[in-house]
Amino acid sequence: MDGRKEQEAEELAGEALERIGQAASPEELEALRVAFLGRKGRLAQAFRRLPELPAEERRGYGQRLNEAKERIEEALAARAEALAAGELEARLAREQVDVTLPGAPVPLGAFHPLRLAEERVESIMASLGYEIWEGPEVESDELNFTALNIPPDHPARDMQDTFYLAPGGDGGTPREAGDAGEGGTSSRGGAPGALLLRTHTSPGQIRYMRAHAPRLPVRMISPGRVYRRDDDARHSPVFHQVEGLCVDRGVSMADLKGTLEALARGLFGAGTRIRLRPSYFPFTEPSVEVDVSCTICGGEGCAVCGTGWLEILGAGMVHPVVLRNGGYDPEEASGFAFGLGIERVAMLLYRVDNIRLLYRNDLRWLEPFRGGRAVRAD
Amino acid sequence: MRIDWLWLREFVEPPAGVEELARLLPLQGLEVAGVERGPESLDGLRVARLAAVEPHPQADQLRLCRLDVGLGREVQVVSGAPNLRAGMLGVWAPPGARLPGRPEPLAATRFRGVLSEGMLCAGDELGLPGGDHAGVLELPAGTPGEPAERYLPVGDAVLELELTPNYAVHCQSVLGVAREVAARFGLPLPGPKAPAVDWEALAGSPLAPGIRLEAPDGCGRYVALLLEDVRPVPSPPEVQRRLRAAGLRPINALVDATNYVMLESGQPLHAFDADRLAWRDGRPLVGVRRARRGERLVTLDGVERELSQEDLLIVSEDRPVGLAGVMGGAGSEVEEGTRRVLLESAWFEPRSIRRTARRQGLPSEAAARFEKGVDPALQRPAALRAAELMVAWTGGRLAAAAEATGRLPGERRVAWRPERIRSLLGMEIGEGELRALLERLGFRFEEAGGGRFLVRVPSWRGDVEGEADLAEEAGRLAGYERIPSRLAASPGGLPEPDRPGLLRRLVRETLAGAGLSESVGYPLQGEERLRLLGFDPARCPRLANPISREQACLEPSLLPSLLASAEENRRQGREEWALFEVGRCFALADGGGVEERSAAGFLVRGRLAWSWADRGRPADFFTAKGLMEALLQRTAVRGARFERGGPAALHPGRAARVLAADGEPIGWLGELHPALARRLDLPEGMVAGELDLDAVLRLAEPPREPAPLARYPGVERDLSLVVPEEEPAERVAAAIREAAGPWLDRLFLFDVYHGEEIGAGRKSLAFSLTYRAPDRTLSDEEVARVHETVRARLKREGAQLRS
Repeated sequence: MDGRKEQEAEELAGEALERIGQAASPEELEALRVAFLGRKGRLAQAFRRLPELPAEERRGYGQRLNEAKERIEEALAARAEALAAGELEARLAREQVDVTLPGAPVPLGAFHPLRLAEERVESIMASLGYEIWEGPEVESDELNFTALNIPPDHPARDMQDTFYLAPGGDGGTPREAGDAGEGGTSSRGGAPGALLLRTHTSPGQIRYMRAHAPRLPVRMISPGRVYRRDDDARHSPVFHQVEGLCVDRGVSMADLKGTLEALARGLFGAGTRIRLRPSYFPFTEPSVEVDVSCTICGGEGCAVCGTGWLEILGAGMVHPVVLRNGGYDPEEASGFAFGLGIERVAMLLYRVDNIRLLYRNDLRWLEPFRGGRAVRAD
Repeated sequence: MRIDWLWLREFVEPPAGVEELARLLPLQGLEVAGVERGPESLDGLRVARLAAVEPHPQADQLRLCRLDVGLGREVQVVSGAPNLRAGMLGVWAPPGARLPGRPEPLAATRFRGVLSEGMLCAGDELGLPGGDHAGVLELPAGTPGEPAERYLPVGDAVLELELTPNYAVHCQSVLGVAREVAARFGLPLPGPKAPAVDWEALAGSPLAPGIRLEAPDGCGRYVALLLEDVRPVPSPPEVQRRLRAAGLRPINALVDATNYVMLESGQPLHAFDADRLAWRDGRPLVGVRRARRGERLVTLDGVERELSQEDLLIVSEDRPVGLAGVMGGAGSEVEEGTRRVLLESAWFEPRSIRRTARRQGLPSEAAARFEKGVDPALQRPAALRAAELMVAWTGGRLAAAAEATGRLPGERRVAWRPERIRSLLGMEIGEGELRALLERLGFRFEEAGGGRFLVRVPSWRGDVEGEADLAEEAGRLAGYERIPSRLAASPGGLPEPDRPGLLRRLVRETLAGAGLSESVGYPLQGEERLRLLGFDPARCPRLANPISREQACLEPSLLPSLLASAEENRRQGREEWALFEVGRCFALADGGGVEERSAAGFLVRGRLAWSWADRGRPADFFTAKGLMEALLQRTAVRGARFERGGPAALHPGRAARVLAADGEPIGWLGELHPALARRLDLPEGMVAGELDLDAVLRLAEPPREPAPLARYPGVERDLSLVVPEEEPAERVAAAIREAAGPWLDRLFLFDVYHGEEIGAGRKSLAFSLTYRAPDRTLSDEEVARVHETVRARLKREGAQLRS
């Protein structure tokens, strides 16, 4: 066997591989493919000379040529891939941007902290099976006071100074400005039909019970705006409350405590403790103030709480008179009710030290409330 | 209510200091607002006797006092006090002594050239609660040189209580608070201090006052005592101090005795100069009746008051001498020459007193107690106690007594059902303990037969009415910390969904997601502002008693509040804002009532978003419309239309009303009127809108079943046409839809163009149309035919088609 011919095939492959390895562009690579593997390429020429060779050489040489062809094809593919990778890399380098430039803005408004606080209360109470229900802001004297066991001349009416509405029926007549009788006291109070701006969300207890009696259980919360006729650094004439009401057979103060504890923990964190202190509301008996362990110092005592406790809501067992006015027999059912000030909750949750900020709607102050809605405060 | 600690301890000796008590009382319902502490000791101060008082050689206002302080020599101090008198006992602070409130020890000082060896102290200089600066403090007893603190109320304090109305019934007195303290510690319950007297003898006296109760429903009991040979001298210093510590001004021993007993027992008293009352048959006359129409009375404060027929009067032979339970009359009060006193101790019906006090604007100490309900058993003991003090402080004697009764509240009894109380409290507590707790508070148990009991409510607990009150009484004394927490699972099934709340949340999410921030507004607005904003104040509900004219009406729209928020942000130097509110607005209803409706409003100026990459564009009419359309889509209100018009606050050419499919107006939007912006001193370019959420709740449709997805390809064609400027685009679109028929799958306006080549007063609209059949691929010929129909229709209507 003539080793010279096989040597030739070897050299051809060697040269092709070397040149392929040096090819710098896809075009150059294509030229090499044509030069070596093309129909008129060097390998094709060598194959064409194959029949001229003696039979005993033909087989070995042919085999070598096939091997060379395979190696060249492999090298071409490998080189093409390498070149493509390099090209991509170069492109990616060209396309680099300054990642610290601001993104194209997606408009994102803020939610008001009062609404955020209200929503938190609502979602906790909803998870305890309470229906969310709203009553009117313009109420009758009857439902705001009398039905809640606050008859005319009751001392408790001192606790809440009331805005009464000017008697109606003169809707179409224009009036002179300034005859509003400002500075007057709530002398119009007491007439059962008199309209007023509700001083608390508690009339919702009566409205809801009347709509539901005699069905049990009653579990309702009622958020909303309420009005009192005082205006100073710590009070606003308009503020927000959530009323809660639970009536069923055998409801006791233990249920009140457990429920309000769950609410306090939902709002302020799992470690929160509550404390009941005797108090007075005409529509509950027994009545309690509910303190929560200070959300800032955890109950140690600090500048905000002083004693380690923060007063956040009033509550109590629904007064038998109120149950009856709602259509339930106090011998059959009992219940508890509570009223929570949303401002207070918002101020504690979001560390607001001035209540006035809550009503200014200053966007500089609101904008941080774009986020944090689902984030707990604890 | 201010309670003096030493006074309290005359009634109860608690095993706790004042601070500890201040911590415990709130846990049983008595809110403590603060503790005012006096000095714990007054070491180094001595009893001094004024040996002589001489004028100061250099100063008219000052005196030289020579003091015997037990040193064997007299010391000299300079004092400006008005009450200096030889022989009186005072408190001497020697040089080097430390006084409360003074950081430096006292030094010997010269006053106008005269040496003062220390000083004679006034009550306030000793830091005593109720101590004043009217003169040097006079000691009742003592030997010169003795430590003065033996005679001074050291260790005193004042507990400042904030009483809820129910505790105001029985805790507006030292005795009342002492009862609470006794109950807390299980100590014997104190009662009123009263001397033992021979009442029959007093009542049998020929001087016994004549009492005529003409209004027995208003006066349940009237006790009248007659005292003789009394004198309106100053009351003892410690008495004066206690009165001042409680917030009352000492007047003279006779008046002070009435006030002292009121503070001590809770029973208001009044002292008349008996010689200024009418007498008949040798007896002074008093009575109680209602005022007559037009009747007038000058009260002690010198004010002539017009009375109402509801007012209760104290009269003497029909002449008014006092407004019962509220204030005495001028002309019968104790004065300098008074020697005989008629002492009144009565029980008045609380509501009547309350009405009178409010009507007359007279919130007196007496009324504050009567209107809560005084203990109906207290009148006689309190009167006798006051008489005892008067005699002790001024001399004289109790000469006669009388009592008349009208309608008194009866003793209250509540059926004893301990299991009910336990089930209200939810507390593990035995019947025996419950009984013991109530007994500590003065409740008594009476057998009612058949093993049943009644609980008798003590006379001073007018606030306790029923079983629930008993639960509170026992519970608060047991301590609410004993109540376990229980969170029962809800057996009632799922609560009803809160559809209005869900809608509000959806609306708020949508608007916040569009870049608007939430505002919480103030619904009370002034008439003038409403008028300025183009609303008719006559249609807005008005307050009868607003705080100010600027807060007299309930707003008919959220726009006034939103503008207030804009003004606030403008004040902070902002030029752009995007605000929304979801809240309520109000209108007068036809029947005279008030209609409330829930609404969503927004107010935007400037760009909702912009950056270096996209400069954004300032909000205009179409921004507002886009927001409104987004709200309508999100809330699934279908078929709403927009038509020109809207509130007066809007630019008339850039305002639209939103109409529901049935034509009912449900909202509005547009650019604010430039003149309005100027009047509000706000920049132009604000856009606003409002959507009635109650209407949305009614109109919102459940999700539709989705249309089947198209199976055959559609063919797109553009259509560009020129129409007069005032031609509404919606009309052109309607014409296209109508002409194209069911194969028009989608119609989209992609350009509006104004330009010279089109001509003034004209606009070019460019639509993209997609034709599609549900059941096959449309052929080119079919598409060309229907498209030509559309073009022909538009041409017929006068549009100029562009190729």
